[in-house]
Formats: sequence, structure tokens, C-alpha cells
Amino acid sequence: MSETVALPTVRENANRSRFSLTIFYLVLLPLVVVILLAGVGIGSTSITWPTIVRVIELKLLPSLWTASLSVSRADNVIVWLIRVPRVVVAFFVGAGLAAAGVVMQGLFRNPLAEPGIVGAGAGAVLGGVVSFVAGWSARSVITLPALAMLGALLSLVIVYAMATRGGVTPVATLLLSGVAVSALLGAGSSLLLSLNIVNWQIAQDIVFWMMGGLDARTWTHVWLCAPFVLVGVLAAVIQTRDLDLLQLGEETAASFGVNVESSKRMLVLTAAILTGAAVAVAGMVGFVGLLVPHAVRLVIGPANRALLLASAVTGGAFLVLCDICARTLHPPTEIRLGIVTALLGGPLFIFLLLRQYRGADGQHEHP
Amino acid sequence: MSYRRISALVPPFVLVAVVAAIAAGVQRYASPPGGLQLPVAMEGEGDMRIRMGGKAYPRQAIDSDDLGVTIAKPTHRIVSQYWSIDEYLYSVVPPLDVVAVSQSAYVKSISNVYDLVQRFHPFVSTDPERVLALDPDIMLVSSYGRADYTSLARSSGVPVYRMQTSFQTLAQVEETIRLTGYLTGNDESAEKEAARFHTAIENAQALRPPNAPKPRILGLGGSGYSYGTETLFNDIVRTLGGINVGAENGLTGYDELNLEQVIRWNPEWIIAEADHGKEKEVVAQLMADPAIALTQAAHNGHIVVFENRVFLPMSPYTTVLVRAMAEAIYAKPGSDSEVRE
Amino acid sequence: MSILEIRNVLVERGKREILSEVSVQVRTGELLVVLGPNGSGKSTLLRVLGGLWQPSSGSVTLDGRALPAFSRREIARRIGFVPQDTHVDFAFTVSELLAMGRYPHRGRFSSETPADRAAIHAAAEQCDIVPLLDRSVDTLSGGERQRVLIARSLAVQPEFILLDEPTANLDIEHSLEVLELADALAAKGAAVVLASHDLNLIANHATGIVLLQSGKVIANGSPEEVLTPVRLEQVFRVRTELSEATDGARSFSFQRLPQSGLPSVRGKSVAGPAGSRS
Repeated sequence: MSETVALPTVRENANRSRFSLTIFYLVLLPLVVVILLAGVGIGSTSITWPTIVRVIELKLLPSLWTASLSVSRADNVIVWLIRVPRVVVAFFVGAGLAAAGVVMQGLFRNPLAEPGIVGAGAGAVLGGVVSFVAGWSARSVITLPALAMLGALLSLVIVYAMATRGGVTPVATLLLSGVAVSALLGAGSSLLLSLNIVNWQIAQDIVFWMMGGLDARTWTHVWLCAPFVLVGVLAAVIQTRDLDLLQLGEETAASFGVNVESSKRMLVLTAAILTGAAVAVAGMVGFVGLLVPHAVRLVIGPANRALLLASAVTGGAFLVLCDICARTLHPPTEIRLGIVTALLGGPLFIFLLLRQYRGADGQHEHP
Repeated sequence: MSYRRISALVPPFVLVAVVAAIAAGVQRYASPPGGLQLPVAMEGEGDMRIRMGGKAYPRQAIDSDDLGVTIAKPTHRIVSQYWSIDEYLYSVVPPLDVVAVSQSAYVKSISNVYDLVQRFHPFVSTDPERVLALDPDIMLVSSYGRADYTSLARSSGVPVYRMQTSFQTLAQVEETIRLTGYLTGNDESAEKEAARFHTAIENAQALRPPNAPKPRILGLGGSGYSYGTETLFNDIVRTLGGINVGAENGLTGYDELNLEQVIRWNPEWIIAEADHGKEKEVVAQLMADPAIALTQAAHNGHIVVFENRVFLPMSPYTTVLVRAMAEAIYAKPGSDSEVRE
Repeated sequence: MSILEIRNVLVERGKREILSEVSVQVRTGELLVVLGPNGSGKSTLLRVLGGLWQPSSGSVTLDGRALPAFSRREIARRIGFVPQDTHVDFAFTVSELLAMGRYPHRGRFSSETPADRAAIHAAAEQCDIVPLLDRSVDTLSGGERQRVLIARSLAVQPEFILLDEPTANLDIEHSLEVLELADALAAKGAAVVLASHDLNLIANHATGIVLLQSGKVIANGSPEEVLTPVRLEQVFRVRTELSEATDGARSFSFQRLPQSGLPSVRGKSVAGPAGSRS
């Protein structure tokens, strides 16, 4: 039997109950733009849109074109030094956490896995706590994120070393090791906090940071976070096929030519870098890495190549949205970011869970 | 087989040991002094130099980060990020010049400037956006504040001066009054306030009868802490002619205290602090404590409790505490333990 | 012609010996059946052949070269492995799964080529799953999933294909289809190694049988040599009776070995039709 008809590409064979990637992005990207604009436009002082546009033009366009524009120093500072970096940091943090979540969920073959599983989050938090307690965070802007990154990587090394036997790291052991190390490092953070509770300033700083927050983010933080997130996402995108196969089981992956142990190492390291960079500039922000990949997967399916980038963009937008809420729900105080993500993300997650499991139970019809 | 078991246990032990070592090391060698618990020692900062330049404008000063700050002209839109800086400002500059204060200024139970902020309604300085929208011409931040806030403020082009806010001697407080005047261009007013401060201290000292024996005074901070050498409390006690029992027994800075040590040290006076309105409660609590009950202080009813607002400041308002302590210790028996200026 | 061979292999887990002194050879064009009761080590043997488990001692060679000397992808291009467990946690579509099967040829970066598409489509046709291509794999029955997994391995176009109990979840029609597929593959020049414990199913399809019991090779050779009543009774602990149909198809009927005091039960498996290799 000879085939004269052109064979369809795999991409065209889209499942009916999923949205095609194109439609997804057609809906998502405008939303992202709107959310980013809202992030820059909303703040505790009111600045008109023409002013904001003028500030951005002044900063981004060559000086020849902008000679006739002028803005007050206050407006300039507020838009360019406060709001824009904050929105940019929020986007990269959300993207990094979501991408890490995709990697973790694939690696552990579990849609409920999240970036903190391998201890990177707890390690980053401990690194930050150390920098507060030692007073280094008061001296320079860089020490807190640097120590947080260091903490994330160190804890990863420990978790991996504990879980590896004879060059093989079984995923179940990795998970348990991660849980144990996270608990231990969390206890370390709590210990340091309790020992320093009489130092009110430090204790407040620690607690606020442990709840996550994007207050006073500057362009320095952007440079501390964005490059790592970009590198991490790139590394993850390169490994998406390995991740796909690993998701089906290690034996299956090996039988299709994946170098299982080295792939796992690379993937875990990638997730740790992404998580470390995010926690380093935003403190402990939960739910993004768990919820966003899960939700996006329900819409566009589990193929990691598409899922990774889509989750990253969605995660970024989601976190910017959460940050806007954090700033505006209870003026003039800012609600801590981790609380907002939990409050927004928790019910959403429960809804998704119920919807999925109600479908599996054949008796209930859902609309 | 047993080798494998041992090698399986090593990583967790190593991990625990490393975490413990880091925690211990950080605690021992690197903790900075506290914020609100005052007076407090500063490790490695025994001699605080106020570094001001000449009187002519533009003025230069070096802050606690060793950064030079240039002030072009007298300032009229001043932002304070810390509660004790609020107190310096309101003592020295015209109140309308203070455009933003710390959050604590608006908390009635701990703020010494509450009436002033209620009258003049400055903004709260926690939100950098609002602060910068005010177009300030100088920002005064504490040496303990997070670097993020300070660096953001600095990058905005507004002069930011990082002030030392924890002191060990009354003389340092007095100098800081002058510093405040220097930074804001209110030198005369600052000089007047410094003089008032100085005189108030002297008057308090004068309450001490000549040739009176030196009273042995112990200060108690919250939950088992006391004040040793290198604290402002220590200097206050010394100024009033007393002996700081904590320092006498080797405490340095704001340090932990074992209540059993209190029995052994047997102070004649115990000074403690309490939340607003809880002073009598705290006295009763202390009297009820079995260790404290055995001291001379308890025996003679020489336990004095001041509310936070009085006890904690390290600013021009410290004169209230000094006066109150002098009156409590040296005045006639039966005087009130709460004294307001 | 390629040869995949293991010699004197010992596989241990902890203190247990799962395979000991096992030597097996497969050539392209053969359909080798690894036969034995549950726990005899069939799955392990297949995994050793596929390079998925390293034996504690002994050698595994492909065309005379030791398997560890090949890269993982090279092995994957030449040896396909279809596991018994068809459970998939994530809702991939069938076509996505089949596309993953081309990984050994594509690697990380290259995009889909016409050769890839042809291989995928051919594999889908061979396994009769073309109508399922758009479906999400978690909506399929166990049997359909099994065929999808076989197709996925076929998409690799390997020289050797190892099937671990492929008929375990299949109804009779599809079980026979799988056996016929195995025949066809061997006829086209692949080597098929099939692990099973269903005597009747494989009796007429195998070119060679390796009989395993408790990790040891009891017999290795043509079906006539291996499938003797004595050996079968020893390994499967049932009394077997061989009958030949008119077209030469063999079938076995079983009877439990007499226990003291219990009546023996006569059982008979359905014989396969004339699907024997010509």
C-alpha cells in the first residue's frame, strides 16, 4: 500500500479537549500586556498615563527625540525606579517559579510537585535569614540575594548527596530527602529567628521576608534575578524532550536513549537555579510553582516543550497580578506577597482539583 | 554492609552539624545590636564619631555607611524612616518641615511625638513611592534599616543620611542633636535643644544628695535580659551616680540574664519597662517572682517600672527617663513611678 | 544480521539471585520467547538484553561489542523495549507518545522529518491504532494502551524489539494480533524477544524458546525440543498434554498435579488457530 497523501505532522493532531497553543497565546499575551501595564500604572500615588508614557520614552528613546519632554523628578523616580523594576522583578520571579514547577512536576511524575521539593526553597530562605541575622543585609543590597542563591544550591547538593547511592538517584528517595532537608533547614531558619526575636528590626525583616514580598525592588534586583531565570528557562527548554520521556518513567526514558542519571541531575540543578533566583529577590512565595504549571497543563496538555514557555509567561503575569493585589487590597499597608498568592492560588487550586476528579467519577456531569 | 549503613548516615549528620555550626557562628560573631530594645550595646562600635564638615553650604557629612552626603541648602522637606529619628527631628526642626515619619510615630502607646503627628499629619515613610512623591530634600534613615530601602532612596537622587540610632553614652545623644541640626540647617535650634538636654541631665544629677552611697541599680529588659557595659542605660546609671549591677557583674551590651543571678547580685533598685498601662501589673509580676522577691529591691519596694515610651528612647526624650529615674531613686519615698515631663 | 547475546549473566538484588548463569542469543529474523512462570526472571532477562539493567557479572554484547560501550542513544536506536506496565500519569495524546518514540533518532534539537512521520504512521498502522491518534492516552483501555506502547517502540524501527508480557492486558483477538505482528516483524528481519507465561499463545509462533525457572535457564532451543511434558511439569507444576490440530498447530491442555485427597481438575486452554509461521 503506497501513501500518496502527505502524512500529517504530529502537531496537527491536537486533542479535541485541549486548546491549541495558538489560541492559548492569543488569549494570554494581551492579558499579559494589560497586567504589566496595570502593574506600572497602579501605585500608592496617582500618576497619569501620559506622564508614565513620557517617563518611559525619556528612558528608552534616544535623547534626540525626547528633547521636548520633561517630567518632575518625583514622577521620574517613581515610575522608573520604583514601579517598573518592581513589575519586571515580579514577572521574572513568577516565570522562574512556574518553570521550576514544570520541571519538578515532570521529574517527579506528579502534577502536585512544586519547586520547593528538593530543598532549594528552604535553603534559599535560610541563606536569607543568615544574611539578616548577621547584619549583612543592612550593609549592601547584594548580600541577601547572594546568600539566598548560595543557600539554594548548597541545600540542593546536600539533598542530592543524601539521595544518591552508587551513582543512581531514585526519584522517590530524592523526594524524601528533599522533604527531610527542607524540614531541617526550615527548623534552622526558625531557630535563628527565635534566637534573634529580641532584635525587633531583624525579626520583622525575617518574618516579612519569609512571607515573600517585592517592596523596594530596584534595578539591582532585576539584574540579580532576570539573568538566572533566563538561563534556567533556556536550560529547561533544551531539556524538554528528556523531561517528556522521564515523565513516562525512568526505564522508559532509558529505553529511548535518555541518559537518565545525568538528565536528572541537570534538571534538578535547573530547577534549583530558577527557584533560588526567585526566592533570592522575593522571599518565599508559594503556590505559583505548583498551580501555574498544573493549570496551564490542563489547558494545553502535558507536552513539556510548549508547557514550559507557556507556564513561564503565565506565571510571570500571575505574580504581577498578585503583586498588584498585594499593593492595593489594604492601602496603605502592603499585604505580603506570599499571603496573596496563597489566598488567590489556594481556592483556584481546589477548584481545579475538584473539577478534575469530578470528571473522573463517571456519575457527575460537569458543564 | 555496615560501611554502607554508616555512609548513609554521614550526610544527614554532616548536614545537621553544618546547620548548627552556622547558626552558632552567626549568633556568636555577627549579630548586630537590637533595634527597639534600648539602651543596647553595639559590638565593635565603642566610640561613635559624629562626622560633620564645615558650617558653610554645601555641607558635607559622613554617615554610618561611611558614605559622604552633600546637603546643598537648609532642608524643609525632611523624611524620617525610624522612630528615634522622628524624636530628634521634632525636637530640633520646625514641625511643618517633617513631611514623613516612621510608622511607630502614629502608635499612641509608644510614640513620644503622637500629639505632634496628630496635629501636623506627616505621611508614613514605609512606602517609598509615597515618600518620593513628596519630593523630599533629605531622608534620614537608621543604620539598621534594610539596604534595599536605603539604596532605592539613594538612587532617587535625594540626599540620604544613614544615622547611627543606637547609643552608649548621653554625650553621643547630645552630639546627635547637633548633627540633626547640622543636616537640616537648624543649627541654632539644635544648639538650644542640646543645651536643654544637657541642663536637664545636670538637674537630674543634682537630685542626688551629696555623699549619698551609690545605689546599686539593675535594669531589666523583656524576657530575661539586662543591660551591661556599652549601653546607654549603663551611662545613665553612671551619670546619676549609681552602680550598674549588670555591668558590675560582667555583662556586656544587652545580654541575657538568669534570674538566679539576680538573687546573687542583690540589687538595691530594679528598673524595668512595661507596655502602656501595664506598669502596676509588671511590678506585681516582678514582686511575685521568687528570685526577685529575695532581693533588697523587692524587700524595700524599690522596683520601678516605666512605660515603653519613657524607657526606650535614645533621643532628646531620654531626659524624661533620666529625670524619672533620679526622682524615683533620690526623691522622697512614695513618689510616683510614672513621671512625665 | 545482528546478534544480541548475553553470556553467563548473574543479576543480584540484595542477596537474592534473580538470574544466574544465564546465556541467551538472539539473531535478527528470530522470534525468541522467554517462557516461565511468574517470578522466574523473564522481565529481568529482557531488561538485561535491553541494556536497562547491568548484570553483576557476565557479558552482554551486541554484534560482539559489549553493550556498555555503546551510547544510550545508539542502543535505543537498535533495541526497543516495551514494558508490561502501561500506566501513564499524564494526559499525552497517542501521537505525542509515538513522536517521543523517535527521540533516539532525533535527539534533543532536531525537528520532525518526513522519515519520522513515515515511521510513526507505519507503526500506528501496524498496531491498528490509527483511529486513536488524536485521543488522550488516559482515555484508552488497557489493551489499546498496550498497542500504543508497542507502536511507540516500533516507531524507532529497531533491529531488536523486546516485549515484556505484551498480551497481559489484551483480549484474545488482540493477543493473536500481537503474535502475528511479532511474526511479521521477524519475517521482515527484526529480532523479537517476547516474554510470556502463556504457553498456548506462543507455542506456534516462536522460533526459539528459553525456558526459565527461578532465574536459571532450564532449556533453550526450538519449541519441539523445549516444550516437552517433563520439562513443563517441572517448571509450571502442571501435567501437560500436547495435541496437534490437523494443520499442525500445537496446543496444550493442563491438569493440576494430583494433591493428596483433592480431586484433580481438568483444564483446557483454547488452542490458537492456524497462525503458525510458514
